[in-house]
Amino acid sequence: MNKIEGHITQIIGGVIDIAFQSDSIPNILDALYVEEYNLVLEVQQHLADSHVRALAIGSTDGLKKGVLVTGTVGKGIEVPVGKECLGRILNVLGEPIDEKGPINAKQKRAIHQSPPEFSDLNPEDTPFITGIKVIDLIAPMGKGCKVGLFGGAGVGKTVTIMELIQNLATESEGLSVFAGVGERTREGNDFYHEMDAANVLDKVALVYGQMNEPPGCRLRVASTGLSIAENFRDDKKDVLLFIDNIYRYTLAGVEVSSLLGRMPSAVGYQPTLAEEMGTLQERITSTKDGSITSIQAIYVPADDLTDPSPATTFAHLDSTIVLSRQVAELGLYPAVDPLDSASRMLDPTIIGDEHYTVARNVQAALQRYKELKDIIAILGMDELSEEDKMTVMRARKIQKFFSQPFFTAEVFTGQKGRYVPLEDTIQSFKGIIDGQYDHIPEQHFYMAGAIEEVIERFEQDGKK
Amino acid sequence: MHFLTQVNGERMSKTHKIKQVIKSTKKTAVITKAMQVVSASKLPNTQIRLNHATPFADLTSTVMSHYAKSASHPYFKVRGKHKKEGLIVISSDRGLCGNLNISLFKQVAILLQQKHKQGVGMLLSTIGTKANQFFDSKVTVLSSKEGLGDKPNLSDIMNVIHPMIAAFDNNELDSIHIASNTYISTLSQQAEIHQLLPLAESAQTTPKSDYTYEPSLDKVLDTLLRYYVESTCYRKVIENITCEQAARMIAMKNATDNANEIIEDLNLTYNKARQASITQEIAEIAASAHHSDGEAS
Repeated sequence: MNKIEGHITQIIGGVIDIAFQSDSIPNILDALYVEEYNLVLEVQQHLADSHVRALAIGSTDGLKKGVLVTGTVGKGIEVPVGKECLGRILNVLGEPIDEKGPINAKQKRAIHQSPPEFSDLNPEDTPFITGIKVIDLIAPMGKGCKVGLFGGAGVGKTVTIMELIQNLATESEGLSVFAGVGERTREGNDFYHEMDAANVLDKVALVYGQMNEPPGCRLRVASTGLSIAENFRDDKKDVLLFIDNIYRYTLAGVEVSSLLGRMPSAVGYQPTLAEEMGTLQERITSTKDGSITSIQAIYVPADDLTDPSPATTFAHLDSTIVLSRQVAELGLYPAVDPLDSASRMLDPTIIGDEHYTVARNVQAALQRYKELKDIIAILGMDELSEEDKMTVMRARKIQKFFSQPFFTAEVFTGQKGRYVPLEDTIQSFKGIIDGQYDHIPEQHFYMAGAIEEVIERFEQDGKK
Repeated sequence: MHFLTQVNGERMSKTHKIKQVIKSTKKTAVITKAMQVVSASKLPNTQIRLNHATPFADLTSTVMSHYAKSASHPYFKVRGKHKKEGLIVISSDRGLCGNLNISLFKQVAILLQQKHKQGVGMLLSTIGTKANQFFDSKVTVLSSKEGLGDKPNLSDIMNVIHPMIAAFDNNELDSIHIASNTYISTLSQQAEIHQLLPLAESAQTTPKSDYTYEPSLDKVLDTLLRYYVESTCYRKVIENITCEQAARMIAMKNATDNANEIIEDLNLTYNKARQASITQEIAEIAASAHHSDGEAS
């Protein structure tokens, strides 16, 4: 390992050019240090004449040309991993930011890793119950699955991911890693205190690179979180990895892409979009040692799922949960679109025939309702046949019944959260589809837990 | 480059899809508009036919009420048992006439439920396709007639009424009701259920019996009463057709309005999507042009 030294020749925002001696230049993705300013750089490109273009992982405020840069050839950014990280908040470089003293980790791990070998992958299919009706029924999650929560601005991605953490992380015995990528600092703080209140802080490692930080930090913070999760996995543990929000990772890439001299591609995204997403996503996977179950929030710009960023992310996921504005506008939360959402797990050989049939029947009823909506809009309900009318009534009840009070949204809804076991979910929806609850008006289905609650409300209403 | 065209293709398809929906909605609007116009032109004729049928039916009704107290014909006698009752339901043959049939069926369904609770059996006769479709699977239908058209003859509905009257004559039924729509105005029709047999006394008219009967009162009444029942049914059928045309005209007018509203909204969405993709492309071209300029200099 030979130490090298160079000098800064150009600074444009977060992108810095450095001149080295021609016989000693760093490799791509090596870490460089500007000790005078306590700044870390990551090599991105080799330019002509032993010049190197690097990305600043931190603020470049006050930096000057000609400042000394040092580094070691072949050594990238490394972060502390292992159980010492649990209960702590780290930044992109693995430094503690919770003011609880240094992290004395025995192990360090480079943030750039190759994905596991094909032969090491583990095709296991154990369902994971979330307690959220619509997700358990339509887009069931599995151990080691990659789940994406798609949604535009303000449809409830973060609240839904928080509820999943509440139900999964606090219930399961496993470890969790939360990577906050370019989201609100306030939410990171809230999350920390929530975990503390639930007494599960000692099982969670938090890595934050929030929206106030420079693009370099936001670009690499997901890799930092992932490295910690990978380490737990390789120690034969089951890990939950939460990333909020993977779109900010793409966005950070956009911010530095032009500065690095790349020509923008479709919709202004970086030309390397698919590759960048691939290198990150392919690492999030389960091996024979342990599993990483990842849940990622994915912002959808302008509610357009065909936008290149969410479109590229789609391909990597096992389960996609789409939060739609149309559903949110009806006041139905979680605003999951049951027709756009899908899961690899929705397969009769994995979840069983009954669950599969009920889920498909529910989708069929909703699909029929969607088709009939145009007719209803033009001709009115009266022109529908008796059978279609019944389908519409049941579909409307199903739609309302998909809403559910959240533990994490108690301040918004004023209702206590509900955890619905899978068996109750299946039986409730089966009952609606079979017409057992045709006599109950649809408003009773709104914001309820299992069907018993709906029946109870109906009976109380009858007494009045 | 391949990726770019792919994404552009997706964007193109978005506007294309909206355009398709606009096109199909426009076609729907054309059809509903046509139906509205057809009903509007049929309505005056049906109204004339209703006006022609009304005086005869009204007069027979008045004459019958004169007999109500004096005569001892079985059609006047209220039967106390109420074990089984008949109901003639008159509907349209075709749909797309708003809630005309539905509100009538709803009333009938409520009546059926009530009677069921009281332990009274119901026997139905239906006139019109819609009524037959609705009730056929649910209750016993004695007789039915479909496809009457706009100008029904009295003979067309005989086959429906006669089995019902025969059942009444044989004391199988305690009473016969008739359910149909009453024409109030073009904008308003009322679903009503009237008792047809036995004849109820009319309170307004004072009973008179200063007629001379040849050959005998009973014989005259037999014919007259039969006439009365038939003409009442016929009038109801004619009235229902008038209601149907009026209701269809209004329903189709509303449908056309709704369709036009949807088209307007969709046009706005289409223009927005179109403009967005143009802006996007200009931005992309400008950015790349700017970028390659920088490279060259």
